[in-house]
Amino acid sequence: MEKAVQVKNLTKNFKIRTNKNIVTGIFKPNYKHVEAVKNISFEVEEGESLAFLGPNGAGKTTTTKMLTGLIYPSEGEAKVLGYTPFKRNREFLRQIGLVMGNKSGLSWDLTGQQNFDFIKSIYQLEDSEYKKNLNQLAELLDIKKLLNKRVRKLSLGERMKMELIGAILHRPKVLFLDEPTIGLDITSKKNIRTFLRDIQHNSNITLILTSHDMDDVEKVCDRVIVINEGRKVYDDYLEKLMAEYNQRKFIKFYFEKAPEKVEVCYAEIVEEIPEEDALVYEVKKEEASQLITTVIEHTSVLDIDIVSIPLEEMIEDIFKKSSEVSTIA
Amino acid sequence: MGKGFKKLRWSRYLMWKELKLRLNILKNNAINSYKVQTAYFFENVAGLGSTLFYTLTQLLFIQILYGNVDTFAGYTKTEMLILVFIAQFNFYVDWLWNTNNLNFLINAIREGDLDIILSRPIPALFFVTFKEISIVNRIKDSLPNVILISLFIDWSQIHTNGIRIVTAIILFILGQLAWHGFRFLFALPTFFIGNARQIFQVSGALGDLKDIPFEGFPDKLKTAFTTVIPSLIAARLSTSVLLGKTQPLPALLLASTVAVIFLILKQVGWIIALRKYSSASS
Repeated sequence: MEKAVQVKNLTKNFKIRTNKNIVTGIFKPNYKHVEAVKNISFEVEEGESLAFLGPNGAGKTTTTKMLTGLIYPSEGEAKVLGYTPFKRNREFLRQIGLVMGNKSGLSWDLTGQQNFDFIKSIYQLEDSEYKKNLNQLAELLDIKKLLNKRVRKLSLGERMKMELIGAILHRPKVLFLDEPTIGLDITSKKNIRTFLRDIQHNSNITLILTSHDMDDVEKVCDRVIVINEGRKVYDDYLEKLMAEYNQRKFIKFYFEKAPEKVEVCYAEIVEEIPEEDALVYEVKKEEASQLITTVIEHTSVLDIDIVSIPLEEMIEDIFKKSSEVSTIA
Repeated sequence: MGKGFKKLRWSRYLMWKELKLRLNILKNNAINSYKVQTAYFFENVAGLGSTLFYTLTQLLFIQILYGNVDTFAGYTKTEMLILVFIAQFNFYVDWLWNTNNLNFLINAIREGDLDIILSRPIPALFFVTFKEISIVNRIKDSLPNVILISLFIDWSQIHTNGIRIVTAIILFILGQLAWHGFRFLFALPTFFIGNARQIFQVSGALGDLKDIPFEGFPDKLKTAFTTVIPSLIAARLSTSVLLGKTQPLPALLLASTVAVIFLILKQVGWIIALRKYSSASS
């Protein structure tokens, strides 16, 4: 499989003026250097779907911006589809797409159709190819009837669908998505995630997603790179991450009356909820059934919930561990 | 021979494609600007009102001035009206091209919209240079004013010829190019310090030379305002050439050199600024 993205020791430093005094700042500005991205390396296969995760200011958006050629790296190398992004070669730009949840790539005073006509001329699409793509995408996202409505008059969800069409009308090989579902309602989020998954599978598009919404990541991506304080702290397949963390399960027992604690050596009570007459045990995945049998045998259980660790908590745990490591270092 | 011919045809084809793309950008930007303009009717009426009032005060000033003197800086009343006519036209072109587009650029950098522009396979500098083409609005604003001034001009009093007219038109265009390059440099600090609205306004103020004829400036200021700050070329120097007060050839040479230098500075400034671009959006 070809590599869609190759990144080696990528670093980005920003120089920030610290003396903002109106008079002294002119003569003695004083600068501090902030390392937004520190020596990151990774590769992405063609057709893969990757998520960058990290808290605010971790460096994930800066990394995406270096990969799209918007900003120059301070050090290191990046290749996307064989091109050096920051050279902003037109042939390279023709093969990527960028969707930013908080920015619009469309003119709001034009209709969707007028916007797409313009995009057609920018990407120099053939008439037949353009019509076919637009028809297909508009049908998939169910916005055919909205094409002649001004973008300004559309709802946020409808507009985001238009943005997506605008970003992939030219069939990019790599699609960068920065918070594509921010501010959307549940139904719109679901539609967009399904759509992204579909186009990734059907058109072999490489997806690179940045999102704080773990559902986006879970539904759309195969692989995650966790960035914290500019450093890559985790890079593996989502399935593997889930499997690693789901070695342990949380089992919540609801009792008829006040909870009766059954002590077992292989499981631990992690929470007691008197108002619900419930107890939560943490147990290894393979010992979960044994625990359930034991507790049922010894008490009067009304109901049971088996809870996996949510992705959000897994990521939080990775952040914590990486912060501890960097503090020690 | 055959290979060379094919190469030539291919490069012509690429040039044609590039030209077509740029024309499409202009068309789309014009449509977009038109839609925005027509969406705010009362705002447009107010804009027309303010410029009309400004023109009336200018005409009043000239009436009063020439009620007391026969010539001002060697200009008769008719010549002064010609200058006002061209200066007014210059003001609208500056507004149409520089004020609107460079303010758009400043906002696009500040708000991160430039990211979307830079991520597309378009000539980004060309795109931002012609993003706002509010032709309808500017025609609507300028036409009544320019017509009003022209009604006050006694056209039979103007002595010029074809060469001077053509030179004046070329000077006007070169002056616009130089002035655009100059003002563009005042918008660029946004890339480095995050905001340059006030800095950009300084460039506007440097061009606001009221209705002083070219000949009214001392020599040192003439040199400064046609080279370092090229604000005299488009309206004042071109009027001076039109009215036969300045030789066409030296004026043309000066204006073309200054225009080329400022356009090069614009291009270089843009390249440096993009290297420093940190992108505002997150």
